[in-house]
Amino acid sequence: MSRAREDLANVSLAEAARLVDSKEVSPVELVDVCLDRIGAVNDQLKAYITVYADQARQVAGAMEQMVAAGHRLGPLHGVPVALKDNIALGGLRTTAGSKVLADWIPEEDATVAARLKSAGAIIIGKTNMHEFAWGGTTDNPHYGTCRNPWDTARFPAGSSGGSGAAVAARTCYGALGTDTGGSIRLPSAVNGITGIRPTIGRVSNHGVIPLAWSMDTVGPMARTVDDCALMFNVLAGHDPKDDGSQLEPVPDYAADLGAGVGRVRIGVVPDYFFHHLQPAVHDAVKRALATFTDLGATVSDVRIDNIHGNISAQLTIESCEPSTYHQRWLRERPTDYGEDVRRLLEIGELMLATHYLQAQRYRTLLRQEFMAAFRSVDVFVCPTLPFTATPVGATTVVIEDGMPEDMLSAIMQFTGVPSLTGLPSLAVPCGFDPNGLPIGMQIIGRPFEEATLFRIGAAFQRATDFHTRAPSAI
Amino acid sequence: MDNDAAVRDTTVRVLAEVAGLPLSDERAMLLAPQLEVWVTLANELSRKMSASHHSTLVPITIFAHRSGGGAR
Repeated sequence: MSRAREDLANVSLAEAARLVDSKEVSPVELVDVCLDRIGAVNDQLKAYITVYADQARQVAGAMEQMVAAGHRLGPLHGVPVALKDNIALGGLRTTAGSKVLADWIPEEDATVAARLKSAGAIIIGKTNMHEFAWGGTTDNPHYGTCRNPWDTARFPAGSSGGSGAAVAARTCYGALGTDTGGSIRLPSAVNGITGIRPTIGRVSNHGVIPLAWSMDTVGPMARTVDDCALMFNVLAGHDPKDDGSQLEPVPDYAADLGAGVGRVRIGVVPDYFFHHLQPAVHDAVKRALATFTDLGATVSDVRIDNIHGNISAQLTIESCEPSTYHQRWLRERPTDYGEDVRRLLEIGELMLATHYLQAQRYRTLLRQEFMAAFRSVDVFVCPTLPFTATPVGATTVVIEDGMPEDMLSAIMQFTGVPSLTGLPSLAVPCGFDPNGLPIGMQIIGRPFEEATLFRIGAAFQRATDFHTRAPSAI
Repeated sequence: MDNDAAVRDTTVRVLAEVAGLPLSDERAMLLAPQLEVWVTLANELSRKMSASHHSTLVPITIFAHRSGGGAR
């Protein structure tokens, strides 16, 4: 029942679950492997805020006995996973990466945490994040600056940067992130892993500290599309505790992973998604499109006339809604916030109601245009972000022509589109830049068609090996 | 509708006062440049959305969430 620990750290979540199920590996071994990895890298990466070493070992021991007795809780039995620290665990500190909630002990699990536990997952720790998820760097002033395992001088993006770094660094087999303007997809891209922002209402938000109510989602981050589909099978579905969750039927998201992309119609928006991005990112996503064509898909250009303007709508909504949630704390404890988040919350208080509502009307316009476009294409493919990981601490980024740009606006310019329209979007590794830094693409689909995204992403991963590579920096 | 928003620290102080947000002079000066950029972009979007051919569009969002209440 033993296997080399290095090998065990590198297996996928699906393979780890299979090894437990077949009694080739014990949950205790998997937990020990993860805790060893956390011990080896977390001082450097600051990927975790809290690690539940003793509890995870105890749970693993119980699960080992259950396996010996022929009992299995569910498809994730005995597999260690991590949660972003804005997802509540009953009786355990949940900080949202903040000083404001440094001592908050929730009374109950978030629905997504309860579902993972019911499926047999072992929660090994809570991951670092941008404070209250309001930012894209995970440069956290309270719990440490999270770093990218591919190059520790660079950022892991955010706001779910800890989850991205934790999965990439082989400290867990999967993790949960939350995504408002790109916070699952951005760290998935720059850390070379896979992650999905679901359709709004597909996964419960109950027990998750909000950033912007109208755009918040929870989703899995893992090494492969198959892993994400396996986790999504557990997470998706209506939750009576979340009035925003939908009663749409839940298919088996792993059922069609091997079905390929024959006759899939892929749309691209060349004048937006392939304009103003680093050459390496442009070329990698273009090569991915060629791979899809080789696999039997068709690719065609699509016009989305109203796509320009999305960044303003994103900034307006993502400033006004958090500032509403934080209104009391911002007056009572302003100095408990990090400077960047405090500034954004203050600015959100000063925008006008008309700005906010026009931004919400713009979302309707943009969604209508995408829904019309879905009559001629099945999905859209585009870069996740226009650049690769930037140096830690950078507040600007150079995309082309040596011109520095504001990080927040630049980083959300492609991920904001699914966020505003409520469409699902799968982030998949699709290459590396000349510095060896990962590049990611998004596959954007119709509402509640996550299974299609998983099928297309899985076809790409069966034809490429970008998702199999591990960072060598740590 | 004017696209350009000249946001000075005095503007920030007035807006903060209206919102009941205590803000020092230093912070008002700090916020003004970023607010100017965001408000200029928001005004541009407002102008676009005020066009007559968009008059039937309603806001997309229905607020149905109860999440995160326990933290307060």
